Amino acid sequence: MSVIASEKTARRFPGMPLAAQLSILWLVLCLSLVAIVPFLPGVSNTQVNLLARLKPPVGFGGTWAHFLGTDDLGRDIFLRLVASLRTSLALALGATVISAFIGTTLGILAAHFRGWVDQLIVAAVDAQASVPFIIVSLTLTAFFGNNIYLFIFILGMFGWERFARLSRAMTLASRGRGYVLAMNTLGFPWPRIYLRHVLPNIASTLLVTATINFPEVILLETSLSFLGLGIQPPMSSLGNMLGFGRSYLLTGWWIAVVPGITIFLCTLTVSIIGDWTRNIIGRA
Amino acid sequence: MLLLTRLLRAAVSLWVIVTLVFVALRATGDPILAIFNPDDTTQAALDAYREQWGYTGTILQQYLTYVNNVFHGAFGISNMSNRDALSVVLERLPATLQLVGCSAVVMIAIGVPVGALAALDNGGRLDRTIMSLSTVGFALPNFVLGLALILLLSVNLRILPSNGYGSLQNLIMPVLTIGLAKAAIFTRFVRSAVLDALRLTCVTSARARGLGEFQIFVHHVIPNAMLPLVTITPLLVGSMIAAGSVVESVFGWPGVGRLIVDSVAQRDLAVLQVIIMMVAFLMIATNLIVDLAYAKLDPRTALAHSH
Repeated sequence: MSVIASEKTARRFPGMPLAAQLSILWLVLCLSLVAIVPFLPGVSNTQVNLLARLKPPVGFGGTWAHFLGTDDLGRDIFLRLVASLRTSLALALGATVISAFIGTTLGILAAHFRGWVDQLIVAAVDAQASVPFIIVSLTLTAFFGNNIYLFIFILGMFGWERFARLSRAMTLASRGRGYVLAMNTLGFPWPRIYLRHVLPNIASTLLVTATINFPEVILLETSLSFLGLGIQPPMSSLGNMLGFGRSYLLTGWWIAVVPGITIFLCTLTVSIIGDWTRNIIGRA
Repeated sequence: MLLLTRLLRAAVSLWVIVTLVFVALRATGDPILAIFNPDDTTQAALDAYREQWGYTGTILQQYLTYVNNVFHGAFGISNMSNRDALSVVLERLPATLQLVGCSAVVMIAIGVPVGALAALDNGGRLDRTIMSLSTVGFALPNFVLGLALILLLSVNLRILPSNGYGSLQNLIMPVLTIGLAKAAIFTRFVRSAVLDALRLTCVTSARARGLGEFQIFVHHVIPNAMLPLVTITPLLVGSMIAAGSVVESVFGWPGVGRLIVDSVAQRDLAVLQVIIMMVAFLMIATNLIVDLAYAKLDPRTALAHSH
C-alpha cells in the first residue's frame, strides 16, 4: 500500500527530492498548528502557573502535560511557540507581499516610462542595495519608536529592490515580444497590458524571488525582536521569545532552544523549497 | 581623470546619505522630548539642553551648523555619555575591526578551499553535501548559532566564557558565529566563480597544450575566479557590520554593532549619525577600492573606460 502511494507521489512530483517533501510537510504542520491550536477551547498561551515554573520538556524529565516544558512564569512553551510562530509567519508573509507589490510596481513603471523615471528608480534600487538593511531599520526604530505599524512598514521595505530589478528587466524583455506589440497596435491601454498579460508571464519568477525574500524577512524580524527592538510584549514572536529565553540558558535552556530550532527550520525549509522551484523553472 | 570622477561621485554619495539621515532624524519629532519628560523638567533646563546639543532654530539652520561643525571635526555630543560622539564611536572601533578581521579570515579559510572542491566535483556527492551544508549555514540565524555555541561550549562543556572582551577565549565564539555564517555564503560564490572559470576557453586550450591540472588551476582558474570574488567584497563587508549588531549583543562584545543597538534604545542621535556616516564611508570606500582593483585585475575594463 505504502509503496504504491509513494510511487504515485513520485510520479506526480517528478524528481521532487526528499528534502523538498519534508520541507513541505514541515510548513504544512506549522500552518495547521497556527490555524487550529489558538482556537481550541480552554487553551491560553498567557496562562501563568507559578507551581509549574521551568518544567523541562518530555524526554528531559518533563511530563506530557507540558510536552515542550514551561517558562519562568509557568506558561506552556508549546502554546507560546504557536502564538509566536503565528506572529512571525504573518509578519513575514505580509512583508513579502508588500515588498513584492512595491518592487514589481516600480519595476514595471521604470520599464514602461524609461527616461528619468527609470533613472530615479534604478538609483533608488542601487541605494537600497548598498546599505545593510538591518542598520537602516535599527535607525528607523530609533527615531520613530517601537510601534507595530512602523515595524510592518520596515519589514515591507526589505527586499523590494530585488523584485524591482527582476520585474524591470523582464518587462523590458517582454516589450519586444509579439503579444505585447500586437496589443499595443490594437490600442489596448498600457496598464491593462501589464496587469493582464505581462504580469502573469513573469509571475513564476517573482514567486521564486518571494521564496528567497521570505526566509530573510523572518531573519530580519527575529533579529530585531531578539534585540528587543521589534515585536514588544505582550505580543510575542519567535525572536523575542528567544531573546527572553536567553536569560534562562542555565536554568531552562529549552525556553531559548525551542524557538531557535523553529526559526531555523522555517528559514531552512522555505529556502529548500525555493531552490527546488528555481531548479524546475530553470529546467523548463 | 577617472580616479577624480570616481572620488567626486563617492563624495556626493556620502553627502547625500549624511543629509538624508540628518533630515530624517530632525523631522521625526523633538529629540529632547524623547529623552526628558516635559512634565517634570523645567523649560529652562529643556532650552539649555537644546542649546547644548544644537537643536535650536529651523532644520536648515541646524543643518548648516551641523555641516560647519563636521568640517571642523566636531560631530556632536553623545546624549548617553555627554562626550564627543566621534570619540565614543572610535573607542569601539578596534573591537569591531578585530571581530570583523578574524571572521573574514575564517570565512576565506573555509570558503575558498571548500568552494573550489565543490566546483571541481560539480554535481558529485561531495558537491551536493557541501551545497546542503551551505544551505543549512545560510538558514541558521546568527543569534541561534551564537546561543547554541554558548549552550555547548560555555554551559555544558565550560571551556569558554559566554561573554566579555580582551582575551583570546572571548574572541573564539563571536568569530566562529560570524565566520561560519559568512563562509556558508562565500562558499557558494567561490564555487560558482570557479565553475565559470573552468568553462573558459583558456582552460580548454591550456589542457590541449598538455598542462597539468594543477598548473591550469593555479595559472588560469584562480586569476579568473578572483574577479567575481573581489566584486562581492563590499557586500560582505556590509553584511559583516550588520551581523555584528546582533552577534556583539549576544556575546557582550563592546564593538560598534552593540553601540548601534544601545544608541537606538537610548535615542542617542549624535552617535547614530556618526556610526551611519562611518558605515556609509566604509561601504563607499570599499566600493571605490574594488572598482580600482578591478581595473588592475582585469585589463579589459581599464581599456574600456579609457575610450
